[in-house]
Amino acid sequence: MWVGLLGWFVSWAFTLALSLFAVHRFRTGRRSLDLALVVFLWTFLTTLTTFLVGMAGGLNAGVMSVVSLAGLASIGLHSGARETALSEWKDLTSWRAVQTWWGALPAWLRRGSSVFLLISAARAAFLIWALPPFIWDSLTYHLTNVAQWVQDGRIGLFPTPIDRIYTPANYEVLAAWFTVFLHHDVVVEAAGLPAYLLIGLSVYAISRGIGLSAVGSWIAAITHLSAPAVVYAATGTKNDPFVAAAYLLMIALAIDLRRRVAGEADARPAGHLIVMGLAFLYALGTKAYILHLAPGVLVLAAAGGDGLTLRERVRRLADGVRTDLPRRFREHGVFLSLLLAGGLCLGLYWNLRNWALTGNPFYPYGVTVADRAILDTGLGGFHFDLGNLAANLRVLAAKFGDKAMRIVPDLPGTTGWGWVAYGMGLPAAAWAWIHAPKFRPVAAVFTVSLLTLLLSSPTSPWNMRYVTWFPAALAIALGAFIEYAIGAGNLVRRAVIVLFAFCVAMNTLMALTYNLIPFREFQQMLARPVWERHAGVLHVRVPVEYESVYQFVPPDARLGYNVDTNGFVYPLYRADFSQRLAFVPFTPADSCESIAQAMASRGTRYLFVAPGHSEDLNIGRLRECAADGSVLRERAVGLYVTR
Amino acid sequence: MDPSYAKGPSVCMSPAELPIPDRGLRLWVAAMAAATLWYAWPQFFYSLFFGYDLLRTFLPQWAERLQPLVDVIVR
Repeated sequence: MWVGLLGWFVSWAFTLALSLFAVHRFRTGRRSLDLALVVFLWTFLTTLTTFLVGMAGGLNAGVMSVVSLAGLASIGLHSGARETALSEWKDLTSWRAVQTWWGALPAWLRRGSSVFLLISAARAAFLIWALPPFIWDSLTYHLTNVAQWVQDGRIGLFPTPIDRIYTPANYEVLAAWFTVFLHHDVVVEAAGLPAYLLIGLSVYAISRGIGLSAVGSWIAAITHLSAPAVVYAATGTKNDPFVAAAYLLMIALAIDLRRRVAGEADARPAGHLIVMGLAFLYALGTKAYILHLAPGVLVLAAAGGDGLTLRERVRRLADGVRTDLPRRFREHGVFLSLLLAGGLCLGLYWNLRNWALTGNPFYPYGVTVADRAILDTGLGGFHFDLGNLAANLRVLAAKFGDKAMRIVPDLPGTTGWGWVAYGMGLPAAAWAWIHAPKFRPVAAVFTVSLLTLLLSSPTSPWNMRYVTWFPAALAIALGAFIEYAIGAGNLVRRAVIVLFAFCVAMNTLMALTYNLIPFREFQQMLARPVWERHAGVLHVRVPVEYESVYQFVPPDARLGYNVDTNGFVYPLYRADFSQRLAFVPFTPADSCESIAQAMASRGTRYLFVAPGHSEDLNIGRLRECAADGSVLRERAVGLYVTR
Repeated sequence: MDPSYAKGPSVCMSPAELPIPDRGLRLWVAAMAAATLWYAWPQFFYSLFFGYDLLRTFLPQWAERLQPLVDVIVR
């Protein structure tokens, strides 16, 4: 383990140095935006490094450590690169700048922020350490990819009934980086934290971009970072936070670009556009719905308020790009070309692979436009028509206000936007729309993105996880409102502060246990050594059958399984990915002998099934075979062994 | 409107700079309090899941007394 930790540390150092070197080319001169760029570039470059090594078959601690060491040495030995990375580190982590910023906040906000940050950090650390992954989609396909890749030492496809392993997987690549050095999932939930950080920095940067002070911007960031849907997803092994983070970063960059184009700052627009392109590609390789969100960002090009006509704005932007882009490529051509090639790899590889293998880039999903199936897979997909928009708006209306049930991580029945967004954010949005003209373009961006998403997103009880970025608009409006209100008379000032503190506290309270995990489950998990907290032991979502695997199947034996297209596979790998798996397909019409032969041909004596995750008829067939007793017997509930 | 945007980053507005009278702001704050109350039912009780579960784990006899109320909320 210590060797793995050392390798991970070296990889941290390498990826951080590389992202500091990269950010030098894109500095905007706005500290919050520059910090957001560092976090994004770190996420991007870490994913890219892991992707390239994984595609080459070197996804193991040894190769990853050697590659990282070589990369770190290259940066260290090249005086220019070393000096650039070190100077960026010194500048961006300047303690004096932090002190100045912190000191400018009013005392009540400093005290409240300290409590919020401490509790949030402690909560995240505890939940990551104490609990194994338990989110449905993670146990079906996100982490199934991660476990299989780390086992194989290679990123690729493998036989399984879970078709969704084909979907774009940049999040899974980054999650693999969080597991490969320890060959264990103990900190895999931390893979979402870079997105959480980027979301907070982007909301802050957007607020600053439209002219809010540090106080209003920080309140906006806290408001959004406390929204239950955002907090849950950050440590919930989901890929949605990365799409939300990329989208919010694109808005922050676009707002800064508008300011520059309007002549408020030195206009070198190509850097902004390149990073926006990289963020878009990263999100595209994470989840395709960034395609539905992106049109909203274009609203910023058309929106007025900066004294320019649309034509003038576009002309200035085009002129700026014409002079800036060639200059950038003259100065850093190789670096920018490699970065863009990396972006294209991460953005397009998954869809191109699916296109080559299945003829459908969005496999396993289909695409329907105005009732006409353009790509039909029979497995649902994206529907572009007004009927879909109406259906999704009805779903949103039913969930609006989080009335139907308590907010839990999968967001069935609720939006998960929480106390601050609904209680204070909604009235604040009305206030900001009336009194803060610079809020209007931001509101338009979010509204257009919401509508284009709902126009095309599949209607489902769980589709609110695609909309976790929306409360950021309410958060920014609230930041603007509180900035004014705390300058008012004592009564208003105190009422606003008390209400804000109460709402943030209520959001935080429900997040402590995901509003879902009972204490007895915590007790049970904490009673086990941290290395043995397998996903199948936490029975919040996983049925008890999965635990029998850990008791009755030796870790070095191959385990056969038969689940349906939405069944859990990940818990079967064990927390240290030691269990080798083989999918054993069969139908209820197969004879017991042919099922046993199918198991033997895949090198296993064991076959696992579970109600709710395997077809009932298949489970029934295995029970019949076990009752017959000629070739199979039931070793434990859900676990069958050949005689 | 919005002098803070014109003058750039600021820590907070002084009352003299406020474009909205105190009375107007009070109405907005009242609207926020009302919206929070609207949100509180039933999320306030859902948010107490943490506390109730704590009680159920460590003081089950107390939790039993609250069970009828919990049943009403959950239903």
